[in-house]
Amino acid sequence: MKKLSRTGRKSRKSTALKSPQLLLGIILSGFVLTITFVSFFWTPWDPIGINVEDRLLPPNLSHWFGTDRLGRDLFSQIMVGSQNTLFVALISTILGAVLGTSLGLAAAGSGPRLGAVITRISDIGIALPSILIALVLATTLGPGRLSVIIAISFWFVPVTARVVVGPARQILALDFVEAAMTHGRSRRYILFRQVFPNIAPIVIVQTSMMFAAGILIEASLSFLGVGAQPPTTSWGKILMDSQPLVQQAPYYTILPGAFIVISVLGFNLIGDGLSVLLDPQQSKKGVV
Amino acid sequence: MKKSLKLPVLIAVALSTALLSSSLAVAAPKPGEVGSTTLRASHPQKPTSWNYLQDGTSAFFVPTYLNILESLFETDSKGALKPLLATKLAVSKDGLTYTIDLRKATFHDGSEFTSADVVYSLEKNKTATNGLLSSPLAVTKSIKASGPSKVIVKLSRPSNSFREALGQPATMIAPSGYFESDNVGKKLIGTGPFSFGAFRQDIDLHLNRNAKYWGTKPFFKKVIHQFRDDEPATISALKTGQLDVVGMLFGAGVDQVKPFITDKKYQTFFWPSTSASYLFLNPKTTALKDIKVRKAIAHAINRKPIIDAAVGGYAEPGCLMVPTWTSPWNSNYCPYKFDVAKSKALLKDAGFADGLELDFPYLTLAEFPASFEVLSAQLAAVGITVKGRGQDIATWIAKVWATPTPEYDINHITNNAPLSTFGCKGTTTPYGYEALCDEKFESLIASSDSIVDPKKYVAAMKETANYVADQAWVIEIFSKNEPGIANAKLTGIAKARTSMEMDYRNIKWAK
Amino acid sequence: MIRVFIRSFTLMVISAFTGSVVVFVLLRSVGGDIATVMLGTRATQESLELLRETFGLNRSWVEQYVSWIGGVLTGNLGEAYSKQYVISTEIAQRLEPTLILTFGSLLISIPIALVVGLYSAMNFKRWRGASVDGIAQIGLAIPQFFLALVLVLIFAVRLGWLPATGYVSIFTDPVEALRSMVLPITTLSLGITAVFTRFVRTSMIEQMNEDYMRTAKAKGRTVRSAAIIHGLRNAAIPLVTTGALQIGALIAGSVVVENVFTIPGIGRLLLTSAVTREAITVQSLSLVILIIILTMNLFMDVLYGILDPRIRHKEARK
Repeated sequence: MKKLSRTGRKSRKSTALKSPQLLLGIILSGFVLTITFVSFFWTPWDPIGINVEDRLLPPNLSHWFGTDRLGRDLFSQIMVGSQNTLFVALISTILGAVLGTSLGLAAAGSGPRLGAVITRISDIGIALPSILIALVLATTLGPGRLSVIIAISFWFVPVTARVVVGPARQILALDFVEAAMTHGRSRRYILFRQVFPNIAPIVIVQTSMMFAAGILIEASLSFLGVGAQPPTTSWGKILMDSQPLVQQAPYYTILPGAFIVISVLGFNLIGDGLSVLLDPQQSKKGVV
Repeated sequence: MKKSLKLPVLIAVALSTALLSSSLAVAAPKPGEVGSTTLRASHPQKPTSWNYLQDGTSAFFVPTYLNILESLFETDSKGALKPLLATKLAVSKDGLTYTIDLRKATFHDGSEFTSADVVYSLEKNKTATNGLLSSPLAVTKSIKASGPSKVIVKLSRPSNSFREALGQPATMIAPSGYFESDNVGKKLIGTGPFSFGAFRQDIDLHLNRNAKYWGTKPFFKKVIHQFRDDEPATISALKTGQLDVVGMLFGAGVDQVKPFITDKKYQTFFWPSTSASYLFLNPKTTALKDIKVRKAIAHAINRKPIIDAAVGGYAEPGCLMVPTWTSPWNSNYCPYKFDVAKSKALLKDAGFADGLELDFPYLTLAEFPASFEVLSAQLAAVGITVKGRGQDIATWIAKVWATPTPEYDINHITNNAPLSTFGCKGTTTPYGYEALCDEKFESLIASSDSIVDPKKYVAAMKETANYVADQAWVIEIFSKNEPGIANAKLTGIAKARTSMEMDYRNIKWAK
Repeated sequence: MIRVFIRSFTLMVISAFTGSVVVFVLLRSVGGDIATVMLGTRATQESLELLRETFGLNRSWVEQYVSWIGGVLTGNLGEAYSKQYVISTEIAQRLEPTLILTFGSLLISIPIALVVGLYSAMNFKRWRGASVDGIAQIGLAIPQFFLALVLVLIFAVRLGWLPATGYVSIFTDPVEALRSMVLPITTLSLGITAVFTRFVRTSMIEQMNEDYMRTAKAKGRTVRSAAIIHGLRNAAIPLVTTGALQIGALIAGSVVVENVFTIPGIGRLLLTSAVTREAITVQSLSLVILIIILTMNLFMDVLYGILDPRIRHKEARK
């Protein structure tokens, strides 16, 4: 039979230093967060200073990352753009993870009727064409962070719920959970103290993927007029603007792309490290 | 010795005959190769419908006008009328009676083209929901056939716009009864050198050479007109030889044209568009009712960076709303040149020393997102903050353009609206738009269209255009030269005279 | 068993109906309609009203919905407003390329993800395992439009091995069909391969720690065979979940891919008809996608029970 952690609270001897993944994750995300933090006070150039004569300059000593299609300093743009991008991606990921997991656990823990209703509602949420939601939000709420977060969560919450519901049912069917039930433990206690710790690795994988997806979805939304509106910018918007110029100015796409990769990797590695901390058995004998 | 020689000789002979015969029995050239009779062309827009009485988008006319559907006359590159389905035009001295002689021609369905078809089509076009067809025909009092090959049109007043429209889609001719048939919206029937072939939604339209065409038959037996809205992907397809002609790039593709200009495998062309690209201000916004504020906005605009950023540099800056590039009333007149200091002073004068905030919903296609970014920076430099909102075309039309309660303060559009539409009696351009609603403008508009004498007409139009610029309700920025790219071995690609045509009639392989 | 099936089926029909109402309402909350699109900047108040009347757009929402759902039930959706196509025929024709695209991507992603995920799980905490996983994560962060452009630049424009755009049906020319689908399927599958790899890896790492796995090892079997035989079955469970869920992501991704490669699939039809406000087409297409996703998820729930007998027993006991 499966040997599972029963409370999720076990010894946490592993420190960041013992997990190279966590360490690397902290370094990469730390780098991105530092740049974001600094951008609030300082950027090498005026991030919104348009100078069309200098458009599409390749990287050089004064413009480290070159200039964009309107002659703005690309590095400064990426610095400032990280504010929007990280905010939107983090908030919608957290919303997706918290609401989605709760919904999934509720569906697994409630009776078959209610559970089925919740899963079908999630299915509808997953199937709704995202372009329609984006267009409706653009019309009703107008552009801005709120619209973007709502649009992304419309997709994240049901998907997470759907990912969680199956494994949660699996755990609920196990003997020790049944034992807890017969001992009169409350449903909420069982779901959060016994089921959740055991599905945490899946939630963490899902969360890390949502973070990556959030950054990319924001890109397509800004294209539909929902996302960041000039003069504010985001990595997604920079990426969208650079798309047609990939042949003339490859750096214009690759550099903001590299920042997306770095932050996705960084935050995912932290997720990996955390899942090791949450499931202590792995840390004990990860190498098989 | 002799025997040993025989075999190699035989093999050599056999081989060379095989080679020779294979090179003689040339396979028909594949598309893209010189001599191929299929032309593959692409345009970024797809028509929303095949019913031209309803569809007012230029995407409809691009593949169909002149290729499938012919008008009575066509407009040559100098703006003059040139015979097409009509052979001769006689206008009475008072400018009220137009006598039009017609040629012999056959429709794609086999029926003969006669004066009855002209009467039928003009009456239909006059009632079209599409203003491009109906507005210039509104002045017609009677359209009568005079024998099988002559039509007499009587006007209620002389009209220059009617005369110009004779060489435009407004006089496109369909066979009698067409709009009551099942073909409406599905299959076009005209007299053009190509007939309407297979159509695949979102993908392409096939134009087949019309064997019974009255004029010089085109070289290409088939033209595959593709609808491709992803311009970078279109450029890739051109480079891999999947396309022969790419017309009128207006979005992400304009920045990719430059390398083709020097590439010997391709030819590039820059079709001067008949459209004007301009800012228009909402007459209902209180702050903008003060001409000082409008002047300040006009002075804040630096045209060159907008052109470079938004249309790849392929446009002519201008201050006059002159939609037709051949218009004789065009000039360098520019009442409010780029001048930041003057702009700031005007704003201060108008009581906006601390700045002003304006709502600017912009279209999320073509040149508009980039032009919005540059415009908002230029306006910010004089103290005007613009609040941007991206909108797709349908939303924009519904919320900004075609509504009596528009939601915007300042906006940018490119189209070929006649000047008359910015006054009280304007029918099409932003309806409810009554910016130039004053006596002077109305009398200029009312009189200029009826002037019979060409010189006086030009003078009146010039005065009107300059007056529009002076008022600064609509502020011209540039007129585009829409870029296209084609295989260098093709010739006869006609200079388009409107942004609404890709003329396939004379294209062939160079000798 | 039959009762369960009937219950699920009824629930599915109700869900599809609810979803169709949501889409219908959303579509009418968007600015603009087909009349504004057709008339464009030449619209006037009179012409807009005339067109709306022609298309029946000035009827009440209830009337419009009833007439559409009636069309769905009788299988006759009629013509698009543009009259350019018959809606049901068009949707049927468009399904072929999209299904080939999405299932082709699944067929490629799942085996790759199994191998890569397994490798990375077994080498968990070693550099080679971590680096394989790192590469998989980069796959998550690459936008599809960028990947598509780069692939076209290299394999179509530079090398000329594959066509840059276009779709050839497998029934007309299998070889050319295969060539034309290589780049689109590669583009579409990169992201989901990364997703699947991560799920396989995570659940395999879990399985590695199970008692039976250690017992198997103690019995002298090689780690690999033990892992593959015992672990994969259990690791397959989250893969089944995400696999069905990824259908939604794949259809969303096919919008981008079909547009770049000019493939006449349902993704492209959904995009163009949403932009041009072809309401009936968008509604009907959304319903088709909804039914596909509901069916896949229902199938997934059933498969879940088969893969994990414990759930089945428990459900039976209820």
